[in-house]
Amino acid sequence: MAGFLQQLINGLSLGSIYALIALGYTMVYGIILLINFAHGDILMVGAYIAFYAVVYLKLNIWWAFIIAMAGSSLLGIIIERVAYKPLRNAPRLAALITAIGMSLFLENGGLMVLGSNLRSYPRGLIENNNLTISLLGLDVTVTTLQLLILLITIAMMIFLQYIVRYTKTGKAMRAVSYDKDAARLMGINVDNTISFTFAIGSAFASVAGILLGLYYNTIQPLMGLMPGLKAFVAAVIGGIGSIPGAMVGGFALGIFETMVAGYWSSKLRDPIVFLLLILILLIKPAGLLGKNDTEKV
Amino acid sequence: MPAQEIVKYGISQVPEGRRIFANLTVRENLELGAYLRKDKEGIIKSIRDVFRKFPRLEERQKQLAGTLSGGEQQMLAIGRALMSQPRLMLLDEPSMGLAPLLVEEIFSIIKEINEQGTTILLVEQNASMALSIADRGYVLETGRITLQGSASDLANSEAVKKAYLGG
Amino acid sequence: MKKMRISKKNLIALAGALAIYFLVSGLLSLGMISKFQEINLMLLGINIILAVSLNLIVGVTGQLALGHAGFMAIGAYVSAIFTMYLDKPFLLAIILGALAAALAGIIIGLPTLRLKGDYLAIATLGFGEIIRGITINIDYIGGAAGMIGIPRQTNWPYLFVMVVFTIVVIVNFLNSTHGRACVAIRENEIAAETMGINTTYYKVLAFAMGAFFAGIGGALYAHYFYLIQPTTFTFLRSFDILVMVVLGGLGSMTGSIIAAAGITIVNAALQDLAVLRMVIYAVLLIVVMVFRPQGLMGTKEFTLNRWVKKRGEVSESAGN
Repeated sequence: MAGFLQQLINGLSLGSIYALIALGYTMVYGIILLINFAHGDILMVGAYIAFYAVVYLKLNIWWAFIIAMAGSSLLGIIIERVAYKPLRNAPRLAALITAIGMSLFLENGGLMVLGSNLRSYPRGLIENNNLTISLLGLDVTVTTLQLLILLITIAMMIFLQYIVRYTKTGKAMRAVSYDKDAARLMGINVDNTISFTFAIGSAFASVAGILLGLYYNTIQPLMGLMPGLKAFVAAVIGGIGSIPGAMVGGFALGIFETMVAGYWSSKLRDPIVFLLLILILLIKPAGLLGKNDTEKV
Repeated sequence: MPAQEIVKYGISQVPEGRRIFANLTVRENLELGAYLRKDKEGIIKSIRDVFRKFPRLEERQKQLAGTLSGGEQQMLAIGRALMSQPRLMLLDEPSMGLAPLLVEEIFSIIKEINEQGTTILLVEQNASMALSIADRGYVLETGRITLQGSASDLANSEAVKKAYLGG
Repeated sequence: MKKMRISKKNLIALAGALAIYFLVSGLLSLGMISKFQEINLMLLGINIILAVSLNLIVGVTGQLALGHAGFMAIGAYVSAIFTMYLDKPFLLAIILGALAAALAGIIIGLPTLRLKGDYLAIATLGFGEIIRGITINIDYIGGAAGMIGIPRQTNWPYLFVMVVFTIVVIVNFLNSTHGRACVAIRENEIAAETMGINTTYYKVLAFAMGAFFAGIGGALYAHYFYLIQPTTFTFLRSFDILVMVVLGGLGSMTGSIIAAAGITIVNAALQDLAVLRMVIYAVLLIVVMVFRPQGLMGTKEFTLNRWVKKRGEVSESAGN
């Protein structure tokens, strides 16, 4: 039982990171119906920006977070303007291929510029102690890093909910994702709203990237590939386009994955994750919280 | 000029098919109608004005707009267009898909909006209904104006009667 | 008995194919094709098979599937088992590998093809990864290390015959009632259904056929490169094949062939540039898509007639 709780806590940390990435996927998908395959690679760029901010500019971790978020947001906006905007009215597959191209560009550009060697954030960048806490009368170990990951994730989710629900820009985002032409009639600048969505999604990805780097103690140019794909799976499980769905999907996937690896086999982890995805889609074809579009004749 | 700039010039549109934001609440739809306005107090007052015209929207203000009936959605589309305080309001086929009783209700409100000082440009298939509230009318055939005049003249014109009003 | 009709167009195509075959055979026997060129020639043929077969699913039938590498893996592993472990002839191994892939296509297609658009994409991507995950977990086929020392039996005649076989079968399918049914599904599934087309049947049929030929591609791959590993067949390879299909133009078979050949040649030409090669490839991909989102050929086919006609128009306008 203590083992189970321990796995649950580990799964929650991983799930937090997945959820942060999945939010970006789902927001971008919601607004321009594009699977932004480069999203995972923006995460990597964010992790590297923080790395350089800490190692060369000697900044503390909080400044690193802020700079990485700003840098990634800018990158997200540029990617959208350069590669995706010209294709907004093109066949959707063309945009998908462009996103794959952008992903390849960032990965291989990263390999070229940053080198393929693994790096890690300096020790002591954040205090990482083991805390033993008693939960339901059982002792489990939580690291301060795990707590930090969970706290940052929850704080960012609340922040996002606030933006999307209550601010003018958030309402504009929802309007644009529903009907771009009608949004223009309201005086909403659709291009700027889409840029804003990319900025927020990319900022979230960069936070996830730094947290991943801290959690696994390594960063490298291809670090975004698998987490990006998993987070996309999480977004689909939750119902792509749905913000609460991305959160639920992220946590669910992180916990499930950790449990499979912990109790069964780490070699079987990935196939079983995908099997779960397919089973969920077969039962709920638009994900857990997604709206099932009825077919129109 | 990009479409989103037009609102700035005091022109708002109630598009064909209503095009309300089904995934937002009724109140949020109205707030988006005032997207370019900065006066918070004034926006709240405008929302109250819309609710006075369409009490049913007030009852449903927290509901998702997609759950409204067709007539209510049309009311919301008109209310949303009013929120930018337009000097000119373009209405495209507001009677489309509505029951006759609702059409009458919508048209009487359009008339009321007009009387309160907003110029209305109404495009409508239901010619008798449209001419009954309009000052002037224009008959378009394949993109050209073929007839124009005061609404009462047009309503009595043989050509219009034949084409629209059933003889 | 139905009379065989050989049209003039088919004769020209046949002559062209034979010319290519004997030209390359001649060059090979004269030793004028280097080892490096030969490797890329094999890749080119295999890529054509993969692109054309995926085009049947994605371009013609309109079902976005991202699991082609999985079917390729099945063809590669199954055929390798038959030649390497069971000492069976290569041709039989190819057929069995392809049939196994087709069977997997049916098993996967039946439940998932009811999903739409991006949900289908991620589900098929998932299946590709599941197939790969299974290969990692079976020690009989080498687990994560893969199978090493597969006999090199893929050669130019085998490759050529398989490429031609793939193209002929798929093109004939397209020009049949079945092919038109598939196109109808792509254009409007509900309308197709109302016309009495059994959409599930045709979607699964297209999927299974695509998988069959991907299996052939995998078998040829395995028997040329000695070595297959689970990492050979990741979703990135499925992306590669999709890129060829979209770049060539959805539904255009000649487009797929040109794009598969073009990408293989560009890749080979940039070989020395290491990582920079992939950066250039990525930029090219983005640029081509931005300026030609419908792909090189759109949905059209490259035909001699069209080419001749175009040339005619050009010279005519030049004359004026």
